Amino acid sequence: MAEALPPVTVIIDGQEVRVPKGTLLIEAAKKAGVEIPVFCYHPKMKPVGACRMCLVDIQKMPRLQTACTTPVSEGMIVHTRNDRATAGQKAVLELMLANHPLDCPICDKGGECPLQDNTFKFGLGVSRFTEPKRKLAKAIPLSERIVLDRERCIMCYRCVRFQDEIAGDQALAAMDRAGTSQIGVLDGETFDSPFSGNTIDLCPVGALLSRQYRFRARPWDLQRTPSICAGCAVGCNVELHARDRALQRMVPRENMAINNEWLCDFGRFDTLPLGIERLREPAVDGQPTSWAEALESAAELLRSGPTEVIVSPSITNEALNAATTIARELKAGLGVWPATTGQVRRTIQDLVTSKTIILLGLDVWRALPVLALRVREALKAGGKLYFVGAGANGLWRDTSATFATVEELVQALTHDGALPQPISILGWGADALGDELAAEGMVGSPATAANGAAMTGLPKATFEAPVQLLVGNEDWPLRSSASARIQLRWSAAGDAADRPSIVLPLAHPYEQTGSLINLEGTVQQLHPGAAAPAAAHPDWLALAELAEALHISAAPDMETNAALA
Amino acid sequence: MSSAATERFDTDTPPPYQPVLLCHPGRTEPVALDEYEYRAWRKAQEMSPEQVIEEVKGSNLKGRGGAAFPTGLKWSFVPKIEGPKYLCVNADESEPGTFKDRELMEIEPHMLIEGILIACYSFGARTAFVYVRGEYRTAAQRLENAIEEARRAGLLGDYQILVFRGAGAYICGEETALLESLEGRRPMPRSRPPFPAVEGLYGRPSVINNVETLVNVPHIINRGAEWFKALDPKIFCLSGHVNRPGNYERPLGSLTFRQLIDECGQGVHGGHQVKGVLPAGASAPILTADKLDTLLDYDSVREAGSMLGSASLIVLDERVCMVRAAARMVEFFRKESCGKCTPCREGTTWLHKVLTRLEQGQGSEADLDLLLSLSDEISGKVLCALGDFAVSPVVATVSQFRDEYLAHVRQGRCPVGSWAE
Repeated sequence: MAEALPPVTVIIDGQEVRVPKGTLLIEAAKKAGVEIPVFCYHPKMKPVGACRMCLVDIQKMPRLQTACTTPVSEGMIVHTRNDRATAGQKAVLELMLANHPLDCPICDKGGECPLQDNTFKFGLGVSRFTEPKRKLAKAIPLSERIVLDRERCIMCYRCVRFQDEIAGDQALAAMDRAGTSQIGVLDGETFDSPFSGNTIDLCPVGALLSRQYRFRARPWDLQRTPSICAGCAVGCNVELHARDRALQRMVPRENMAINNEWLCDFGRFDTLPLGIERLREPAVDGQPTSWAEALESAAELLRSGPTEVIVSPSITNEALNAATTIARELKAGLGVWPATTGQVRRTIQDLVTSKTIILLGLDVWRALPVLALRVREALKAGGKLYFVGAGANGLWRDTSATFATVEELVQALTHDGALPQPISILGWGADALGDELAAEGMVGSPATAANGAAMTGLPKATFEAPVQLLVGNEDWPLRSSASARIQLRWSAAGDAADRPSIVLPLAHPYEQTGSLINLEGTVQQLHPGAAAPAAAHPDWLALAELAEALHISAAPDMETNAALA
Repeated sequence: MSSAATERFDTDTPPPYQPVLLCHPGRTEPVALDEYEYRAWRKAQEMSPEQVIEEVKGSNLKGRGGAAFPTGLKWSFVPKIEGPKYLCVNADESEPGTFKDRELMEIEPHMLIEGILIACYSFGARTAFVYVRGEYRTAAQRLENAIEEARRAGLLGDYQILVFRGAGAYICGEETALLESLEGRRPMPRSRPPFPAVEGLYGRPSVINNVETLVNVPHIINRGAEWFKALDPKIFCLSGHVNRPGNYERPLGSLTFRQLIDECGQGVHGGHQVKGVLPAGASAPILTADKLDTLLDYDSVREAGSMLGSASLIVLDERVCMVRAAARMVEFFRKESCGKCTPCREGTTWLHKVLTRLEQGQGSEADLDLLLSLSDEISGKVLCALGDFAVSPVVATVSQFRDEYLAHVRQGRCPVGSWAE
């Protein structure tokens, strides 16, 4: 909308900047390199003008204005650091801090807190507030994942707005009024949203915190490593945060082509190898042993009989490459489990700009959560969402119509002419419908596992061969008594009845290099954000070593992977 | 209830003003349809919508809710686009000491309905919502009955008037908070732009008019802009320490505070003296007794240092402790702050704590500077007018009754004392 408007020139603290008419002053200032302090403003959400932190002095305006709600106009002259503006900013901070508990020494946000930063840069050094501070409940568990401190909350509504505007489930609400205004969930409910973790990142104070990360580290003690979420095929860009080489938390990195700046709770909390017993050393028939001996035994077993190599759709491309080589050289079968699909035309960007989106029984909300948020972006820009089938649809609030069959959909929607393009279609049978409607958006049945898109051509594993090489951390189906199994995995979990013949400990995806292909076909690199257990090896390295033990000469791409490590 | 509050004729004061809006003095039952002609509505429909707006513009009618924005101009701001537009009638009369809309709705519901229809016609709305303060059960019921009467008589045509009852929040009188509440949300004012005329109720062009504003409209259409301009009737809600509180309709600028208190209110009760008058409930700065000869119109009251606002005058006599009065008014705003913006939410809480301390004789002289400084930190930095209103009792009393504050500090107790009995 804004780009269609003619550009205007505004002067902010003496800096001339040209922006489209109607641009918010806060964004124009960013372009001019001028920092205006904010709390409630967030570039991904509608401005509300609640916190008043961004008060600036605009020439010819009698009152100070909030930069986050003021659209620029031609010739506007703005002062963000003159006496009037700084007095306003100091006033807001003094009032905001009046009842803030200032328990920074025991607050997780300390060190990465916008309230601390803004106070330091723009606030007063002292407070004139001598009355007792407001007492509210602290450390209220809102859910299994999130804890709320009502005293610290400054009522910026970012969390409430995120759940309303971005997630669309309105899982949080503002309650009460005046000085006792607070955010929360309805009585008897929990903060039940698959995207709740994003509110921790958005909270500009230590009001909403992660129960998983709480009291585990200080931000200045963290080593930060950019990597990729291994939770599903969306391939969200993340940053791994470790303290003393031990993983503590994961936060999203912005990538507009993939995850915007969001992350789902499953990815953020449940894909971390925290609180899960690790496989720490190789073992043969339940007896711990060295890698060399375990590899020797594995090679012997693999050579002994008809073998099936079975890969998880979440292992890296490099490991897949090695597994393929081993299977070929052993003349063994190669299969994937759980089975995966993964042919998708065009990209997530094409989905976001779609005017029509059709889901063929695919519950994107559950299977590929962040993709559901991208679908909502398309809907906010005027797109329409349709669902076919009787299954669950987490995007039900945003669905314009649900049909029992594709035929009904076509009949109902196309009799007044073609559906508006670009059309995106996701789910089983997408290709055929895509051809019928000449869809120009994202079309296909996307993979759901982290590297499922790389395994599109692989057949589903049979688990019939007497010797099975299982690569990856899956809950494999129980073996028949006749077969022998070699498992490469990172968790110690597994059914006692399924004790494998040989186990080899792997590094977790967040502890190793390697690449994953997301559902649209983008190849992305994992980087180790934490140390793996001493005896654990990256998946590709373990398989390369196994190939070497098998005297398979075409050991895959060792140099490249070694260089990455 | 409203009858007692309505003026009776007094044969000693010539010539008696003939009320236009409160034209049924002493009446307690609503004017029914068989007593009311929708003459102006019929006349308006023979005019073009533009002509109606021009007539109202020409009458110089200003919004009676307090802001005194020219009504015709407000209607003309509505863009001429396709799709729904809405009229929202602000009947959330919650300013302390204001009770004019209540009497209008209870006694003259058809006058309001006629005003609503003409307003809708002028800018192209087909649906009007009347947002009635929750406590006004009788008013809402009578209005609903009258709407039903008008509908049965075929007067509404394809116009729809819906009565919506509030749930008891002062902030809902703020027009954008009113819209939020109508939409079923927590009432918090919206940031402007966009203005309601462009993006109002449900994101559609909307006009928000006060009840008293709209009841003037049929008279403008009937008798013409020039007639109205010359008369400019306004209802003054008189309350506090007067002998006869009530609604009194008089032309704007036709009498002074003193005349209103003495002639309409029959003087201060118990023979006491006026200490100060709040011209617009708790929202406008208090005027001291030396300003009683100020004329009751928007400009004169502004020049005297306050605002006429909705013209709800609360008279305080000399027994009133100004520190306590200020603390009480700030407490009202502290409780009614919606909590959306920081300066209002935190500032009113802080002000109230300092005022309470001072009133109890626990304050210091430095607290007076703190009060003024905090008022400055709130004023002009808040999202809506509530925060600005909240500081006016503080600034006005600290500057005009400083000695009384200091006496509290020095004596360690309230020097006025009557309230404690």
